[in-house]
Amino acid sequence: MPTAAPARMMGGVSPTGTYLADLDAALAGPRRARRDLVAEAAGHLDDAVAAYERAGWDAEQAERRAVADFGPLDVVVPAFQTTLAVAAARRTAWLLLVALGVQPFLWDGPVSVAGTDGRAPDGVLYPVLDVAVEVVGGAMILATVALLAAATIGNRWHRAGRGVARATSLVTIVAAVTMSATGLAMSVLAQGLHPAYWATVTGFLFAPMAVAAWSGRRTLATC
Amino acid sequence: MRADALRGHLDSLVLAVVEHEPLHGYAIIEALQVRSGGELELPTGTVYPALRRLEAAGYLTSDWDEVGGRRRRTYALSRAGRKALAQHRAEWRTFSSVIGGVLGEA
Repeated sequence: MPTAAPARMMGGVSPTGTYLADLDAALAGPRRARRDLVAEAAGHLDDAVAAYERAGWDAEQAERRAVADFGPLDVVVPAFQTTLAVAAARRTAWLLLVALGVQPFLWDGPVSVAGTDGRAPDGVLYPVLDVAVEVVGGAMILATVALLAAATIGNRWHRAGRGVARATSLVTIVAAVTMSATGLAMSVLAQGLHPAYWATVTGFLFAPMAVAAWSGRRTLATC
Repeated sequence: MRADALRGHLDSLVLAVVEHEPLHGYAIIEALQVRSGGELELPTGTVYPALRRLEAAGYLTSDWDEVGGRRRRTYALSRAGRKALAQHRAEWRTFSSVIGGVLGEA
């Protein structure tokens, strides 16, 4: 883990301090990943300044040259921001996978609506929703695995960029809304459910889907 | 050599400089400059996203280490990275030989 940001960043008065403060302010994304990237940039600038000073430049000139070598913010920020967007997408995809992954166990086990009284509610809507949630859930799991692969090992063949991050966000938000709405509809159709049922569905469906959707929305904001 | 001429080759160059020992970002960039005879002109800040991408791809591993009394993120070549580097080298030799054969003076 990186150490805290260098003290010069706090003041933001030296060329490198100003540059790092501007870089940090321009970036959006997961806090830890952002801090990690900026700390790495700070370490690089420290090394570059030291090298220029050893070569005979005074401190001010050494800092200015180090910053110039690192690149203008309008070049560096988009590159760093793409890194953060893809990191946010990976986090979102993992959250959605966990949220989706528990659903089969949940619905075939402790909160099986049909299992509460041994039979499914009357009518055609419940069986349709039951099949739909399995088909949609399965498709969403496959899509999420594909997007997660694109954001990780897929970089071997194609550079993951903001498109992958945007797609992950949208799939996550759609999956979270669809699965939650379907779960709610099925629960409402099956009347007479006890409080423990609602607590379980809230804890293992609504809450994880809400967290995934929130992460998806934040990822979208980084793109 | 400008950054746009490097497009598509930077990944291989980075993998090559960490082939024999783990290095932190500044040392990687320094090695790129030294081994290219100072011919590579790219904003050094753009190398860090490439390092993160190569790590996500499984070609590099990284860790925060103490280097020269400072905390530095150090990158090492993974087994998959070593295989990819070997493949890039073979492809480059073929490419270089073909283009050199056509462009070379008789």
